[in-house]
Amino acid sequence: MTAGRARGSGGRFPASLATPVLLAFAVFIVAPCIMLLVKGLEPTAETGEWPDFTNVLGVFDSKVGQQALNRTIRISLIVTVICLLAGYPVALFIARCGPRWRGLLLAVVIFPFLISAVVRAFGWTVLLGDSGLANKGLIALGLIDRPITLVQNEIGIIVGETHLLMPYMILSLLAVLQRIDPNLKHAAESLGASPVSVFWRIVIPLTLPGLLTGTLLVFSLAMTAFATPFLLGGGRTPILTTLLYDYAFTLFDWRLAASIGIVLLILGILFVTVHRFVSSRGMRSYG
Amino acid sequence: MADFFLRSGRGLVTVMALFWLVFLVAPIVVTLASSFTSSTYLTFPPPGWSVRWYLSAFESEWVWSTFWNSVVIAVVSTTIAVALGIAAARVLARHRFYGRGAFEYAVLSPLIIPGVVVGFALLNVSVLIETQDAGLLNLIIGHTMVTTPFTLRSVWSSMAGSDISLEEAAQSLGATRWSAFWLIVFPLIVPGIVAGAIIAFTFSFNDVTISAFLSAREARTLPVELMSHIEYLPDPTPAAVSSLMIVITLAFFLLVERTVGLGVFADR
Amino acid sequence: MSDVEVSGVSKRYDDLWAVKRVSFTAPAGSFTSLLGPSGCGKTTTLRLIAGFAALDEGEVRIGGKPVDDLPPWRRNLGVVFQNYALFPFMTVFDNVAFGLRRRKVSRSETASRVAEAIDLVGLPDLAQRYPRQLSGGQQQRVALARALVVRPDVLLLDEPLSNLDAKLRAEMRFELKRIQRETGVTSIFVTHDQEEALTLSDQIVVMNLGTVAGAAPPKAIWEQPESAYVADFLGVENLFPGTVGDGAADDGTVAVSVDDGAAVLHVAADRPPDGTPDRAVVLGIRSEEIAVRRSDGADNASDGPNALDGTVREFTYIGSAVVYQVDCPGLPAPLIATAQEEFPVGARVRLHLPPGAIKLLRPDAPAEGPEDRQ
Repeated sequence: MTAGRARGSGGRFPASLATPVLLAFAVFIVAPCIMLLVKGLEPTAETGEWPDFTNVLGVFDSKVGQQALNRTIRISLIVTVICLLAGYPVALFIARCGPRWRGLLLAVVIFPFLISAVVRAFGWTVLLGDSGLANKGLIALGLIDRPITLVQNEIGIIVGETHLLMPYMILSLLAVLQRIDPNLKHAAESLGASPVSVFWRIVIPLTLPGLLTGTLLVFSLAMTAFATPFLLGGGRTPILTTLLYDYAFTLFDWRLAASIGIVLLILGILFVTVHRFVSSRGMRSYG
Repeated sequence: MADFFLRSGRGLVTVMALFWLVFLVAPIVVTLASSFTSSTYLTFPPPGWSVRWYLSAFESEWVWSTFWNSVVIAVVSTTIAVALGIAAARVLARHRFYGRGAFEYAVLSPLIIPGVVVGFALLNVSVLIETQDAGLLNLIIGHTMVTTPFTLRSVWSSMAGSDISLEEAAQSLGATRWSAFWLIVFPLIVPGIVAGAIIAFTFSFNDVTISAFLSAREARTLPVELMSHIEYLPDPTPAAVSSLMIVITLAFFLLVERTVGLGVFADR
Repeated sequence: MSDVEVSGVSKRYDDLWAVKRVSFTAPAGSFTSLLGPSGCGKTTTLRLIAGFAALDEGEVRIGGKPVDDLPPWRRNLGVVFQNYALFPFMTVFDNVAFGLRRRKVSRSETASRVAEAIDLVGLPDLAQRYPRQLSGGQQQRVALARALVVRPDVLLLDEPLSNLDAKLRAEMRFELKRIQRETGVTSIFVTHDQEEALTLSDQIVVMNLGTVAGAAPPKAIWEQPESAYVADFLGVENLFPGTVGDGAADDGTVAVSVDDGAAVLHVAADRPPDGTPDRAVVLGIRSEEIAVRRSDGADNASDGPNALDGTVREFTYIGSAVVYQVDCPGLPAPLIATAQEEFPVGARVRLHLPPGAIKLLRPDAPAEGPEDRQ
C-alpha cells in the first residue's frame, strides 16, 4: 500500500537525529530572537512594566525612524517595480533561447548573486562615481552637463538592490515560464489568436503565480537587505536595517536597535506567511 | 500586421533582455577590469594596464590575515552545516511525526529571519554571556546557522531521489539500519552534499551582513575588512582583492555547474 | 525452507487500519499469492512479514519462530520490490553479492554463489553491468538473484511483474515458476492481477479492505469463490443479488429469484453457501458460460430452465470471440456474454444459463466503509 510506504518508519519522533539539530536552532536562533524580543520590549521608564511597546512604536515616532521607514518602503517599491519590468523580458528571452545559450544566460543571472555584496558594491561605486562610466555616458548623451551623484544616496541603494534582487525575479518567472505547455500556445494560435493576444491571454495569466512569488520575494528581501544599502547608501540615507546598525554600533542604544529588529522580524515572518498563502492558492488554481 | 507586431515585440524583448543582462554583469566586469589599472586611482576604463595592485594585495598583511579568518570560518561552519543538514534532511525525508512541520519551520527559519536580525540577536547573546571578543567562534556559529538551510535543501532534494525501497532492500539482505545508510543512501546523496557544501562555503566566504555584526577587532572576515577599505576608495588594491574573491567564487560556481548543475539555485 | 504463519495481524496508520486481523499460513515450499485491489492491505501485510513496519496486533512466525522482535536484517528473507530497488551505483555482481558480504561469506564462496545465482536467473554474461544498462526484465532477474543468493527462508515478492510489458510479464511468469520450483523456497507474492495469482500459486489469499476475503487453491477459488467479492475480483462478470426459493426441485436445482427483477433462475446446488443470512445470495456466472444464439421468437420454455430472451445493446470484438452486452427483461442489469457468432446491435438473442454454471455466492458483509476500519 503506497500510503504505508510514504509514511516511512512510523510516527515516532526520531530523537537521535533530530535532537542535535533542534538544539542548535533552539540555542542559536530561537533563544537569541526571544532575547531580542525581551530587550526590545524592555520598559523605558524605571516604573514601566514588561512588555513595553513604546519603544517599538517610538522608533517610528522619531523623525529619523519615520524617514527610515518611509525610505525603506519607497526604495523597496521602486526596486520591485524595476525588477518586475526588467526581469520579465529577461525571463522571456532566456525561456525562448536554445538549451546551450540558456545555460550560459542562466549562469549570467545566477552568478552575480553569489558574489559578495562588498565586491558588487565596489563595482557599482566605480561605475556610478563622479568620473564613472554612468556619468560619462549620460554626459556623452547630452542628458546632463555635470556629473550627478549616483552613489552614497538613494539612487545608489536602488541600483545596488535591483542588481541584488533581479535574479530572484528572473528565476521565479523562469520556473513558471518553462512549465507552460507549448501546446497551449499552439492551441490558442489554431483557434485564431494573434501572437499579441496569445501573450496577453495565455502567457501572462500562466506566469501570474511566478510574478506574484517573485514580487513578494523581491519586496521582502528589499525591505530587509542590509549590506548593499549599507555600502551604497552612505551615512545620510538610513533605511531600517542600516538604522539598526547605527543604533547598535554608533549610538550604542541597543534597546532601540532591538526594537527595529523586532519590526524586521515581524516583516520577515509576515512575508513568508503571505507567500505561503499565495503559493498554495496558486497551486490550487493552476493545479 | 500581426507578423510586424510579433517581430518588433520580439526585438524589443531581446533588446531589453540584453540591456539587463549587461546590467547584471557590469559591476563584476568593471571590478575585474579596473583591478588591472596602471593608475593610482580608480577609473573605468583604466588609462593603462598593470598587475601592480595584485602585488600590493599579496603584500598586504590585512589581506592575508582576514583571508585566513574567512577560510577557517567558512570551512568549519560549512562542515557543521553539512552535518546538521544531513541529519535534518534525513529527519524530514524519512520520518513522519507530530511536530514535523514545526521542525521544518525551525530549520529553515534563517531564510525567514532577516540577516541583520540574526546577526544582532547573536551579538546580544554573546554580549550577555561575555563572549563578544571570541569573534571567530561567534562568526562560525552565525555562519553555520544561516548556511544550514542551504545544505538541508540540497541534501533533502537528493534524498528525495533515493527510494526508501533501496534501504529496505539492503536491510532485508542483512544490512543494519546504519550500514544501509552508509552503504546505500550516502553514496546517492553525495552530489547533494557537495552542492550544499559549496553553496554554504560560498555564502559564508562572501557574507557581509552577519559578519558585520559579529566580527570582533582581532577576528574580521575578508569582506568586512574590505568594506572599510573601499568606503573611501584609497587606491585600487581593494579592486584586486575583490577580483580575487570573484575568481574564487567563480571557481566554486563552475564546480557546482559541472557536478550537479545550476538547478540547485533555481529551485529556491 | 520454512512455513510462514500470519495470525491475527493488524496494523494501523494514524486512524486507519491498513490491515486488520489478517491470518493465513503459507506452507513450507509453497507459493502463496496475496491478491487484491490497490489499498487492500496486501503490500502492508508483506511489509509486516518483512519487518519494514511494526505490527500493532497479532504475530508472524517463520519456521515456527515468532519474528516480530527481529529487525529486517535478522529475518533471513529475500525481498523483490516492485521497482526492483537495485543499488544504482553497484554492478550486477556487487548487487547480488551485497547480502553475502553482509553475512561475511568468504570471497571465493561469494564469487561462486553469485555466479550460480546469476546463472539461475539466466543472466550469465551481465555481471559487470550497471542496473541502468539493463532492460526491465533483466533488472527483474537481478533482483531475484539478489534475493535468492542468500538462501532466504522465505521469498517475498511485491508486484514484481507489474512494471513489465505484457509479453515480458508472461515470460517472467514462467521463469518465476521455474525458479521457485528449482529452489523450493517458500514464496509470498503480492499482486493485483488475478491471472498471475492463478497461474503461479499453490494458494491464493484474496484481500479486501485490510482483511482476508477468502483463501484457497487456484482451482477451488476459480470454481467456487467464497463470496461475491472474491468472484468479482476473479473476473465473474455477471453478479446479481437474489433470494433462494423454498425447497429443491426434482432435478436437483433450487429456484432463485433475482432481486429487482422478475427472472427466476434454477441453480444446481443443494444449499446456499455457508454463512448466508436469510436466503439472500448473489448469483454469479462467467460470460463464457452463457450460450448465445439467435432468438426464433418462439416460446422459450422448450429450451429448459434459464433461457432468457434479450436484445444486444453493445458488443466488442476481442479477437478470440465477441463479448456482448445483452439487455434482458427480468434482470436488473445487462448480461455480459461471450460468443463466436456475430450479432448486430439490436438483435434479438436467446441466452441460456446452464444451472451448473451458476454459482451461489455469499453476499459480502454490509460494505465496510472507511469508518469501520478506524
